[in-house]
Amino acid sequence: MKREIFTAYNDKAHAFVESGKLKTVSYGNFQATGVRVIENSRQGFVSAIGSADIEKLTQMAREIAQTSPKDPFLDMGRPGRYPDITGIYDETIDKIDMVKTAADLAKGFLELAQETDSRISIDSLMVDIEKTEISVENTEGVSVSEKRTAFSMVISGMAIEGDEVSSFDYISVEDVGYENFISRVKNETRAFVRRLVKTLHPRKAPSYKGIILLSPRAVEDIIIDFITYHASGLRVVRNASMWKDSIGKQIASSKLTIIDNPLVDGSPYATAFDREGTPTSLTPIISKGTLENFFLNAYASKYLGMVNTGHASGGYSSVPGVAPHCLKIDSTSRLDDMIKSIDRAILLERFSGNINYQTGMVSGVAKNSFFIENGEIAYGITDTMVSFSVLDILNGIVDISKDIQMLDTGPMPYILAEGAEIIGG
Amino acid sequence: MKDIFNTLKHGLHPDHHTQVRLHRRQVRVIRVENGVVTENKFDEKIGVSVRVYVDGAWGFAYTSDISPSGLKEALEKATAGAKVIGLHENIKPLIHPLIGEFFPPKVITPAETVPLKDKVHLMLELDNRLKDTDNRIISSIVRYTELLDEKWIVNTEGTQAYTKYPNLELIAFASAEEDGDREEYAEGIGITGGWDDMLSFDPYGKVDKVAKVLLQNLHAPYPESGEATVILGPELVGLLSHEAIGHTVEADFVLSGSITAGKLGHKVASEKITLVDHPHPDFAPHASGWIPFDDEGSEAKEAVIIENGILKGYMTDSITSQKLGLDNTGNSRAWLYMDEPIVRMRNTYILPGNDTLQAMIEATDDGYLMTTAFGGGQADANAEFMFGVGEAYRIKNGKIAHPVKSATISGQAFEVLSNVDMVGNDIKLEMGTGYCGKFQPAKVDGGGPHIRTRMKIGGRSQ
Repeated sequence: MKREIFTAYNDKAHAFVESGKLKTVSYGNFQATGVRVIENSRQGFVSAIGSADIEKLTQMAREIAQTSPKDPFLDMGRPGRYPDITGIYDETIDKIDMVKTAADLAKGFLELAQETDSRISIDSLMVDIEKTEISVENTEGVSVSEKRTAFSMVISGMAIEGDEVSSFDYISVEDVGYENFISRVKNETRAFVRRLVKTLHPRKAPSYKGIILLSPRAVEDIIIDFITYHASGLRVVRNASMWKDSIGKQIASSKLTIIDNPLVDGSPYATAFDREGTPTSLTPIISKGTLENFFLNAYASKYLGMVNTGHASGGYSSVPGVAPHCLKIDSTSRLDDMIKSIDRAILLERFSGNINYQTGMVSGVAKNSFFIENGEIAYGITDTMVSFSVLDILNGIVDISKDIQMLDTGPMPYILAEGAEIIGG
Repeated sequence: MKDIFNTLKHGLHPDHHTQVRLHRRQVRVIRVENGVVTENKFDEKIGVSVRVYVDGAWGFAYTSDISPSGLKEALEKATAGAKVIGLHENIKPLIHPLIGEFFPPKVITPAETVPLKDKVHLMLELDNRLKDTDNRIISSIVRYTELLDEKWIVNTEGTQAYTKYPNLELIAFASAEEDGDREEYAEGIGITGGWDDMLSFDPYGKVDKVAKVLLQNLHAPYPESGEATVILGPELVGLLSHEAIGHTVEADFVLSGSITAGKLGHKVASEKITLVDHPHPDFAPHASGWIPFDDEGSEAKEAVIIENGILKGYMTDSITSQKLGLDNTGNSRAWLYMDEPIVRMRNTYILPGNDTLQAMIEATDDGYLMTTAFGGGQADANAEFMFGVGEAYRIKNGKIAHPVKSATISGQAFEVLSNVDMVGNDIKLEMGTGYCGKFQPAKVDGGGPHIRTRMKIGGRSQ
């Protein structure tokens, strides 16, 4: 029998602002365990919160495994040479009163937003301060653990002027370091408020077919989401990826290079091992438009006969999936220069719509977005529908900005591309 | 049971309004993909939360230590948190207390009593049926999720209540390919109830429906972009009621300046529209958003939102109700013991009218019948929405002409409801597999009758 034990400990303070006032402060912690067994090529998984009886959980997992059909590709992570990752635990957290600090930060960030422009109405603001320790051990020799801190804020609201209410919008900021977090929140909150106010008094964009400037959020929500979907080794295994036979083939413009890099010290994305305890490393995903690798865990690598890339994802209560750690897109230009080069196009800041992952067709509404005219951001837009094929956009990349925003899957740039259809006025 | 309530009382503050909630959640998941069981797991979370209201502010703490000392420590942490805020507002929470044990109706065979091997066998059978329907189906997933919740709640207003209820979900997803065209589609069953109740919703028929819609969409034309007459089915009516209307009438959003703030008594929809959020509707005993009381320990009541086109009320909790001068509708919900209750929906739907679906189709010269949601969507604080549609048909000269694919619908929800000119005499809740995602998940349901209105259609150049 192969057995894997995943444990997690979390200690968290949370402050919640609602309707412009600090409403709640909370504190809690938990310890949790997930046990996965593979016995006679059958897998079972059990997880629980609280002080765990490992042998009892193992027995339950074995009983579950007996009900599953055999699958010869089931496997677990293997140990290897682990990268030395530093700077992901900020000891400041041990010197502060987490609850009081979360409350003070929330009040301060709220004031900062309101001082930036009085037309902002903050619907909610949340500050979380947490420390987490995870460990993975298995019968194949893996025995690793990692401690990390996380300081995060989510702010949402709208701009209001007279009877006019802008579209709702939000941003989130997360960092492992306390000082860095505060500095980033200040910059990003001010930018958020100013951008939201600029969307007041919007107009319909003119209808056209052609170029579109995608914001970092739009890049992550549409382009990276699509790439992650089809480069998932598990989807390749299940015959659900359109790129299952595309390793080594051109799938995008030669201007696109993406590498997964979980090795940057002090980065919120840095980690020495994946969900299964496999060491992480630099993984080229797309090089000059050519697909280089899939995201693989132990199962997908065994099934496909490829080297495990260390992309097992999930937590104590989930069986391993696959996901990127930190996608870094090569860039060439300054955002200002990219905007100056545009005669007319929309800047898609936020997208509300759907993506057909099978066809790559994207259709929806531009939210909190702008129209660019004669090299300048001219006005906010409303009532404007956007449609394009992600495949066309991938092949129609014109430029990629050096200006980035730190988002969930990594530092995301602006991308200027051909191939969009805009339906406005 | 008495012992548990006596233990929980260690978490009550003698001087401040306090809520103590013990929550056990057991989850079983079976996932089959292309004939392979890729997930077969069980998870249990048990813990307690203490929430204290001091001078207008909440302190909240949670722990997995449910001993008297664990509760006392949580009470201290929660009280300290509330005092850190120091709001000094003089608003007293309104709770409708209740005492007793509460269970959903008609659980004939509790799912936890069905052998695991029988459940795995059914999921494998359904997955095989789906992928073997047609060789154009290249990928299939069947996922079964069983949530079993038990909650014990006490508060200083006198509530001492227990409930136990199961939520079962079964979702079938597939993708198909032919001549370079690819499509994907999913449908599911989501109920509060037992194993036999889930089977009564015909999982085999659901799988067959997924295959049918998927294959008909493969070569169907796109709809024409622009404004059109549309008959929406119950699932899309539920989505519109929840996402585009419901969130704008949650009292916390109202207090933040949502588009419905200050509009009680105003006409906001056609007089044919009455919209409610109900914790346990009689006509749908298996509604996924079933709750007997909310997570503050207040009785869950019907919230009438729109009555004959007039905005009549909001969904409230113990504090927002008092700020707005309204009754507490018991809409305060939390996902896990470690989540603080916030204003959430339960089962949100439009009440039926007098028209038959056939009459609505015959009265439509040029339009669409759109029946299921697929591909996501969003709604905004100003009630603007955009939803993807899975199953849709073109109507010409009062008859269904042909299927269309990849449609999106968009508009401003109150305008769409104002444009309603026919309301069906049917009613169904069809959002049972859905989760609302406002800060934390919540099981919700929604639906209504077919309705006819006008809205924007997003399509694609042919």
